[in-house]
Amino acid sequence: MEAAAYKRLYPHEYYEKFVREGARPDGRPLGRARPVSVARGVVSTADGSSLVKIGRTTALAAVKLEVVTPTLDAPDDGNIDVTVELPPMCSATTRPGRVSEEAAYCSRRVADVLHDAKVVDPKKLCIDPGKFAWRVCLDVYVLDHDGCVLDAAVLAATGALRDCVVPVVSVDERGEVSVGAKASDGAGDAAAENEGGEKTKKRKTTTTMKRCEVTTNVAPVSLTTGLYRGRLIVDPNSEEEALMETLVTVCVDDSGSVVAVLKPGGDAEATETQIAHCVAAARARRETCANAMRDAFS
Amino acid sequence: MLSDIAVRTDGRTPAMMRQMHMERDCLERATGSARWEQDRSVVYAAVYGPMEIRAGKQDTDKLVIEVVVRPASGAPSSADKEREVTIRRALEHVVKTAAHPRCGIRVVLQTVSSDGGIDAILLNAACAALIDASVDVTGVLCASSLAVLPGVGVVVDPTEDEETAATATATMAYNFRGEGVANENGDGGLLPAMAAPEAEAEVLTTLTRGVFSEEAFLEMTVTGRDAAAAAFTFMMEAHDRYLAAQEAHMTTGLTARIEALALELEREQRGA
Repeated sequence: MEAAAYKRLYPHEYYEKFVREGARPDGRPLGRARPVSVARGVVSTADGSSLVKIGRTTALAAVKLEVVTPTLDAPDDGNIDVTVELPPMCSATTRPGRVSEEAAYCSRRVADVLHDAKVVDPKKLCIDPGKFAWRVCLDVYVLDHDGCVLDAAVLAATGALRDCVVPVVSVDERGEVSVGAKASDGAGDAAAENEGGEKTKKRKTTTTMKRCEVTTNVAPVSLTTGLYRGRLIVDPNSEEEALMETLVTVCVDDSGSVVAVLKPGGDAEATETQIAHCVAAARARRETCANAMRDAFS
Repeated sequence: MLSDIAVRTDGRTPAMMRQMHMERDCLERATGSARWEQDRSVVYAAVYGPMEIRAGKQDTDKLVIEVVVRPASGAPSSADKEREVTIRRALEHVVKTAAHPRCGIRVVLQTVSSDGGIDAILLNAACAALIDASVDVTGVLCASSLAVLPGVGVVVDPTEDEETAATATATMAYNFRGEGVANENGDGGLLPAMAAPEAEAEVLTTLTRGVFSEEAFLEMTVTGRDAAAAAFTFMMEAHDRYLAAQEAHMTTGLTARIEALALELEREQRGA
């Protein structure tokens, strides 16, 4: 029987043949993750964007900033709204219509990771305490689902936030917000002339070309490892993901502290040693991702 | 590993869980039900099934499990939707889904009050309700919640205040099954070998928030397993007590009926 037919009919036997020799069908050893590449500023209409490829998995993240009223219980904080979408083009199994479970799961996980790793300081997003703050609308579109979507989404989200340029904003005496360079002219004169009523407030968030105002320069790195018959398969692609008994995603930050360990059930349990190996693999991945980010942002 | 000093605000040591209460068969209309209580966190779980599922949602190979999580007040949020997915994935591993193709069961979890550690309590309650409903399971799903408190370290079964103050929290679920070994705690029943303190911890589901070191996480895996083993011991004792009470009820009922029949027969014979 030819290899392609054998692969379709007996996927587990086919995969086992490779794994027993310590390799995988795409030629990688069991412990090697795919190469990463990061590009920034790919969407010109967005305030910040980045495109991340891990092997063939592609995620595009874009940031749009809008001025909103902060919530009552956090008047000094801006907020971040993360949505991860798995559109129908990304894989054969996704369909248009309702948000899939995987997309909702990824959205929440990316939001949690960005929050816990303190990638963005919400206090920096405040324009006028209690009145105006920035809302960062971060959308991640997975253009190609070839496994480990969460890893690509986390990296793309961090890249887009780092690429984000917060425009100049000023609030005038009537409480109107003007965004853009021209808004800062004339506000100083108005303050001098104003006699009663509200004083004009002029708040400069940043100058237009200055970068890294939104992020705190922390870049969390995520790595998914699959468990297959007692072996650890690092960074499985989508074909391998379908065969895995369970997936463990570990997210670490720059200092090596663990930001998240996610194992959503599955067909097998993970022992302590296996989890320790997954954490070590995630730590080893930091350097590759850091290099890719540095290449994009230098 | 964890200290024995009562350093927590409610007087517990780091390894102490809150007092657990479980009531089985508490909802009449459900196939199986359970109420799980850990101090002020209370959850009701109900299992309905086996049910017919419409053709679009059916699975020809296995049982379809639907999980519904309702909060104590208000409409279900996206966090509740996410809990539904997590609990469903854990239950799909524990329930013998291949034994019931084309059928479905629905597991409904209602939070009555929440004071920390609610994800673990939802899982424990779901497991207790499945056992009450006599669903075929491969093992007993036990969960525990943990937190890392600054200055104290890893603590088990945090209250809501402790969770807010923690630098990291985690929920761990384990599927205890297999050969039994003697249980030092409890009334001397058997404990599955994988739940014993010496065994390596095998985690089914883990969910974490916050930042922690690798050592802290591995400690949480082991401590979580010990706490889940305590929940297992408690659950098994509660089930045994319930079954003993049922048996006693049935036996007295039967004995009474046999005596009444014997009396009647005697009367008839004397009369005849």
